Amino acid sequence: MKRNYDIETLISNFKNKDKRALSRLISIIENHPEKAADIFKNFGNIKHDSYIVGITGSPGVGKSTLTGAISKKLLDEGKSVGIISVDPTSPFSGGAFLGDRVRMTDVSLHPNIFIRSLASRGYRGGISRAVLDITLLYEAFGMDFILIETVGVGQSEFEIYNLAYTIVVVLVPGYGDSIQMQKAGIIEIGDIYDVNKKDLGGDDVAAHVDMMLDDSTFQSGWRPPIVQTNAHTGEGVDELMENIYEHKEHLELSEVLRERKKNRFAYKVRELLYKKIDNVLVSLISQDEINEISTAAIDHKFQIYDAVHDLFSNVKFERKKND
Amino acid sequence: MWDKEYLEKIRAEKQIWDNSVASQKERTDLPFITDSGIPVKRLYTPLDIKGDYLESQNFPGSAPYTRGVYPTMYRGRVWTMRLFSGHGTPEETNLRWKFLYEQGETGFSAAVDALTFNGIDPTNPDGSPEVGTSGVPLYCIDSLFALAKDIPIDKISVALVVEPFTSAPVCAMYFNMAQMQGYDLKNLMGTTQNDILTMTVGYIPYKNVAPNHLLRLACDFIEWTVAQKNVPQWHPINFTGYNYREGGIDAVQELGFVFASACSHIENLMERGYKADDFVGRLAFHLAAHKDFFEEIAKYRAARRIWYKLMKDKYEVKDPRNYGFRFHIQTAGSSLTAQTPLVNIIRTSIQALEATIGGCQSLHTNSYDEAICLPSEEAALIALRTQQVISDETRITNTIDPLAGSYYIEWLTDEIEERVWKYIDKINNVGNIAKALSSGFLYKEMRDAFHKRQGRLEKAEEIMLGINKYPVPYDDVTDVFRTNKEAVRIEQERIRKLKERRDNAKLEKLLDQLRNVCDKEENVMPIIMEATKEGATVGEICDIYREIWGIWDPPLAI
Amino acid sequence: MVDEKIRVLMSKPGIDGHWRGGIVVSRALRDAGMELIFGGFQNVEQCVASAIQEDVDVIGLSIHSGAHFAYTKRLIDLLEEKGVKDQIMILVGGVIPARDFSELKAIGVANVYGPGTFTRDIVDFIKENLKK
Repeated sequence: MKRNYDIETLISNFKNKDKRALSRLISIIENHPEKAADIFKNFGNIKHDSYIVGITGSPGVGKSTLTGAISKKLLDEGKSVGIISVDPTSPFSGGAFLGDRVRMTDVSLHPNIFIRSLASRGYRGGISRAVLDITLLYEAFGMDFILIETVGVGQSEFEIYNLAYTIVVVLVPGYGDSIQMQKAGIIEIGDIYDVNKKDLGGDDVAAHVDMMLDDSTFQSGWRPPIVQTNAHTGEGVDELMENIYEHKEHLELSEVLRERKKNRFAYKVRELLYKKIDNVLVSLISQDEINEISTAAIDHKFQIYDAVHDLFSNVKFERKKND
Repeated sequence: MWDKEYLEKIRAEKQIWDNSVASQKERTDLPFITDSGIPVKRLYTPLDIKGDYLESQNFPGSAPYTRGVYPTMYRGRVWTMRLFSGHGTPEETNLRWKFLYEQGETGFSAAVDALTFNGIDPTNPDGSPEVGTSGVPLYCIDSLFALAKDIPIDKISVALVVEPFTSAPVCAMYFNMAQMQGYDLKNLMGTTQNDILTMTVGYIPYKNVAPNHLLRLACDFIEWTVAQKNVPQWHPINFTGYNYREGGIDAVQELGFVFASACSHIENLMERGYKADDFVGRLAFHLAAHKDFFEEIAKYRAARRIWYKLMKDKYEVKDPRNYGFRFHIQTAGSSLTAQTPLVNIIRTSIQALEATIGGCQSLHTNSYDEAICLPSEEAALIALRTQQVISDETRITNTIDPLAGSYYIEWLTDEIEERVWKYIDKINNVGNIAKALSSGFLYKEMRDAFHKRQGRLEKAEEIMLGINKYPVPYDDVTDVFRTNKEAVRIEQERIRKLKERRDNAKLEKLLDQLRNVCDKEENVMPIIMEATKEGATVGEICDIYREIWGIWDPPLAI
Repeated sequence: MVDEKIRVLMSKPGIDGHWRGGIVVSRALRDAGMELIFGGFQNVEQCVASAIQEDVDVIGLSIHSGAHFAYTKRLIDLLEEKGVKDQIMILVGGVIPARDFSELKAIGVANVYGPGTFTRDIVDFIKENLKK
């Protein structure tokens, strides 16, 4: 960031599995997304794919502790794990309180784990703009598993749906109101439902989720299982792991994994394109023009669609022909 | 107290007086409120007194106990001068205790180090740099022998300031030590703080267990010592608002929390089949003496009245000996500065005066170097003399509850009582004390208090001389008391020798039994008495707790 | 568009439970626009591993135990071993006697904050002194 770095040295260290280099590259990509292309072009002959699991749910359900517990199991199996934990940036100060890794202190020293905390930096959907790039870095680094833990406010969790292959939705006792769950929209995106804090109960939540799943259809033939865990004691985590592996197998065998991978990149491709289009748009239409239309709408609000349409009819995007 | 007609006359005259001074300007630098935010009028008169004397104040030692828990108070016996102390090794602490005793201390109080507090042995590298740095290490029964060497523990009460996580092992070691020296547990006097709030929100615990287990451990201790009459003179708990108060909660919250905590413990024991009268008489409290002089005094008076009402109305306590709110006070460490530390002597003196005018049973006064280091011998002596000036030179002990009848004090006592009842309700809506902790409610209150206090200090809404008024640099002239650097080595050696001489096979079996006891609902004390006698260390006992109950992650709020 | 934020790790080496200072400073740094990674209780090894993985600009050590030299020396030695000592600003706060400040600075601590510190002083110091 504010230190001198030489990308070539970093890449070379990175390929030698130097965690400092990985860490530095993550910072560069987070702060200078335009450098991603330069960095990634060094990974042309790396064919490694990681398996990506998303862990989502409302604040306070125990996602971080659960992520730590899952990591422990994976590490015990000899797997390497890259974790991304996202927390919201404060819209007022621009700062962020990143309090997830504190729940994973015990695993943080294992040689095969890497934990990175990210602030959303204004990005919506509970993740940050840099998440995909960082997963690419983790894959280039050779991580077997990537765990993405997100803010999870419920409604806007669809972004994590694009970035991970298995989504674990974490709930807790006291969250059993089925209307609440439907409103949150989370009932549609989970591949596995985990009712955590088992010591406080949870059978009712599990029953609710079960009922709601009864009303759903499952395109790929996978009916999300429901597990109950106590992330602190580790109870139920083995069962959770089994389900993650089963889902992974299901995706691989049914070719849905390929679809999910495509989605992972499609969303980024769209985002990059929109960004480029946005840049072009800004050069073609000024803020003054936008202000003009908005001001006019105060007195002519029902004409707003027409006004924009008229403005845009003078704008032309062109695509160069490939000669 | 005054007849209606006369009160009307006062009212009329007051109106005239108010009008005559209405045009006089008042200061606007700081609002006229108490530390906890209660607005304070310019003047209090007989018009502000509610209730009548016999009903709301009465006599000391009689309901509602507003004026004191004993009929004679300090005319019968002066409060216990008990300086919280401990550093380095048990041997060094023993010397400090002897010194203070020679200088007139009348009770002992063991401040334990962070490892003892958290149930960790000195062989654990995560904690070993802190052996003896903030209190005395008491890891095994040998340590208790060293601590109490040549101290007449049958004549002087000893307070062991350990909390529910380690109160069983450390006190068991103490009890075993006492028995092995020929003392009869039936006569042993002392206190265990055993306070759940101190080790969850007063300090943030390191690798401890969840609050419901802490509550169980605390009640096991109360049950075994007092309800089951094994150490019947012992005070098995001090419901402590002091440490939580240090973070910034106010006087009303302080009382609210200690009473809510007390109720949870009483109810836990009643669920075990005991009647309140079987044990409440030995429950006591530990409060702060903070900056607002009159508010703190009114607080103590209100506390006595509230406790009486809780005992009589809520728990139907019958024996009048069990109605008394007995409390130890520590003067407020958070009010002291590292700048111009001698000024701290003044702060502590004023706070000690609050405590004694307020009728405490036991008092710790802070040393002036509190904000810099552990007390040096000289600083501890001055802290002790502070109490002795009050008891021996000021003659405030001539009479009981001397501020009674002050219009301001009686009004403030009533006001605080009313607010505390409301706050207790607020806490009860969350659940019992364990629930209030695990749900995060207490951590949110703690967080809010932290930030409110820091805000007030940075905006000079609360004055701390030397920091936000007449700021001066840190003092670097006063001697800094350093604890013994060899303490780690000494304590590791002590444990090594202990492990060599003890019957490790027998101990393994006892620890195994402890596992069973923890799992079931049995009282942990009997097996811990045996295990510690056989040489179990505090870390070994607590590791069993961790194994069976898992390590708790406090829901810290930022 | 560069969106560089100052990243700070708040860490308490050891086991002493005084957290008021650490919590108050954490919020102040967040409110000043920094990304505050809360490490909680961490031994020195965990602290260094976190600092490296999170690529922090500042490590804030919160120490109230009296063992500040022991922990700080260990931390700085380990940072040196890992080759990152010169890239991270180290701040120490808590109950630290004034006469220990200079010795701490001599071993590599950028600044020391004792009781009564105003949080804005810490914010200002970081913003003014971070190596660009």
